[in-house]
Amino acid sequence: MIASAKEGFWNKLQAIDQRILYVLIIVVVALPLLRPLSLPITVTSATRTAYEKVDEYSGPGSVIVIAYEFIAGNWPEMGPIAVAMTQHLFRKPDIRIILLAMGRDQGPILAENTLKYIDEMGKEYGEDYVNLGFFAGAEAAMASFASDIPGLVKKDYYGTPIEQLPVMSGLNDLNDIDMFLCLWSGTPGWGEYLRQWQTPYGITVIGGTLGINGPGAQPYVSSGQLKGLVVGLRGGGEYEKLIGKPGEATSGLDAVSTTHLLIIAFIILGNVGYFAGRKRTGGEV
Amino acid sequence: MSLLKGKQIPIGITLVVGLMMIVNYYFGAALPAVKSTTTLIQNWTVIVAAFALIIGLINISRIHINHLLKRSKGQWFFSLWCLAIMYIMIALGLFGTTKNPGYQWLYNYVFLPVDATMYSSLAFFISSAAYRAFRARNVESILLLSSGVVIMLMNAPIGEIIWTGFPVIGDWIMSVPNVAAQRAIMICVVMGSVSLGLRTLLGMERGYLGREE
Amino acid sequence: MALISHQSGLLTLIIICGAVLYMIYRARQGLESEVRRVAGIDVIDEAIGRSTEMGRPVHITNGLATLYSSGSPQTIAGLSVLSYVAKKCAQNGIPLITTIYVPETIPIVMEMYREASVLAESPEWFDDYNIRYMSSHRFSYATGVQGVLQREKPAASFLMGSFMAEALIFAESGYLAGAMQVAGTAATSQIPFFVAVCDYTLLGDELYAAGAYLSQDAVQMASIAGQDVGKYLAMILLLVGLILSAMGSDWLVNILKL
Repeated sequence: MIASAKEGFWNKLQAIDQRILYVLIIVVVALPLLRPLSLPITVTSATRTAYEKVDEYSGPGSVIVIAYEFIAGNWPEMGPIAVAMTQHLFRKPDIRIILLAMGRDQGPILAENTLKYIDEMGKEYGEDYVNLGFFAGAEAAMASFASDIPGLVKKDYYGTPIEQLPVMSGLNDLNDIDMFLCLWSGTPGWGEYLRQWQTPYGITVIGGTLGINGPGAQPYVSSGQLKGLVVGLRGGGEYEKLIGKPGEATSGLDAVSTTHLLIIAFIILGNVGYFAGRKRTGGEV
Repeated sequence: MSLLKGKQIPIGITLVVGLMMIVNYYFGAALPAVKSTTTLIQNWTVIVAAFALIIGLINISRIHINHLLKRSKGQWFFSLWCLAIMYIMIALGLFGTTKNPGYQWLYNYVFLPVDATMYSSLAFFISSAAYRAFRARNVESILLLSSGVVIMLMNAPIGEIIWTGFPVIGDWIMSVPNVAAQRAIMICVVMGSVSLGLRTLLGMERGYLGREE
Repeated sequence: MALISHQSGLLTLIIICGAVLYMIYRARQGLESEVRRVAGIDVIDEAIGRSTEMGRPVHITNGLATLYSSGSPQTIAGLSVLSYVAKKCAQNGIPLITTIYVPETIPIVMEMYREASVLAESPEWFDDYNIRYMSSHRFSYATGVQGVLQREKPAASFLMGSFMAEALIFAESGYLAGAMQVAGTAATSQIPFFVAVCDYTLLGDELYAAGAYLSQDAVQMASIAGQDVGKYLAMILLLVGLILSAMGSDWLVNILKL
């Protein structure tokens, strides 16, 4: 009786209603957002390297391109990275910033969203920065931009002819761009820019991407094709700390900590139930 | 007429266009005519794909209008909502462009939150997968689970508070075994895609044209 | 600017293509190549058989990559699997529901359904209601597929193509619907989720080999053997590069950058 009761317990534990797990997830995500734990955030070498490289390649007179290659659904994770890195660049004096997208049609809207969160530090639209909008064609558009900017770019996101935008003057091809900040969440994204921009032109690229893309992008950091990489909400929080402007990532990292602990607890509990159940049934599942 | 009914024409087009793309990639600088032709073809592709959206629109409309007409139980009101919101956004976008205040409102206050919600629902699926499916059945799965746990604790600020070794080990896992495995998979994927591409160009891979046997 | 771009890449491509063509030539001469069994492909028939016995439909989806993107090989490979699955479902008389993200594949899938119904001599099997375009937006597509899995409760679900975040949504929804799931993708970020949740997973180049494997044509199988030459070449370059780097030489790196 006792043996079968214990068997029943382990089987029940393994077949627990999913909704109990979901409620626990909701609780551990919501609680730290409502009552912050303010856990300290240490800046890792990866994010610090990305920050330093952005500093190094955005000196006075440089021209920077930022590509917003993610979708609205990625905003909770990519938004803080985009805001922090864009803010970092907007603080730089005497630089030209070009915002665009070639893989994701939502890019220009998300670029506009990003600008709402930053202090533009007196930079003027058209003089110091411009939103060129979305260029359809992914790799074809990237190849065209790289070889002939005036040939591809006729007007900005708002329909203003390029001739009326001093920020674009003198830019002929990718050799006139000093640094490329690639913010991507999937495909089209970094892979396409790697083939059409980084490999043929050797342009300096700093990346920002989702946590799930981090492992896949590591080979490019190791090989130097990506000079720096900011990954996930953790990377966004670290970058916010580096620029001294805590934002959504900083406030969200407490929830990341509690949620990760809960997931680990689920893995351990699930395996305990699995092995205990196996032991009871003599090794059969 | 048998030539039109057979697969020879699509295979022939695939071979010619595929070869042009390859020649353009490697010899484009020396052959400006090929470069301009392939650019033109790539532009056509984008235009054709845009027209394909109309086919998609017709497909969705047929399916959901069918549900509406049949008053499919538990479905017809969702179909009504889907069609209504789809055509409203199309109308606003077409006649007012994406900068139309109505389109912007629907995008910022309906689409964006719903999109983020769907992405966030992954947290629930990961939790149920973690509980149910992540089992340490053998050596490989033990390695997978333990490295996963270390990486999770590396990414969470609380990991360093528990033990300062987690970020160090996690960093090593990301920089060494992870990079090695990613490179290996990338190389294998590239080899596979070259082989698939060659079979497609030669007309041997015809599965995407439908089975003949 | 050099007349030939990416010279080292061109040379590598010539070597690999040469190897594949040589293996195809050998197969045409009657010298068959041995290709290891891939469990995820072998089980396709079993999954369809399961659906037939249970009287439930089969579901298949081909992922996110458009036909003009860098992920298009995954979509082409997925379509090859789809045509095979369509043929088998038509023979067994069970519905096949295809959920679509890439609208330009709609006519291709329709043609596959039509041909499958003709080959099976059951024209009534063709029902274009089962070809369902969801959306060209990722999470709208994910929601739609999730709904199909939960409402239609297929007994087998094939996820063949390029996927991103929605991979786990599909896999979990398929599990909750009680479907036997076979997934195949070259997207390295999603492989772990498929491996953990699905019954069988095709990793990377196994998906690309699926079309050739399912055809059971010796000549096509030989092309799978040919691609192994590329892998041996990569291993040799790695070893040589390792030795040269240890000696402080950048010679091979500079050659490969050409």
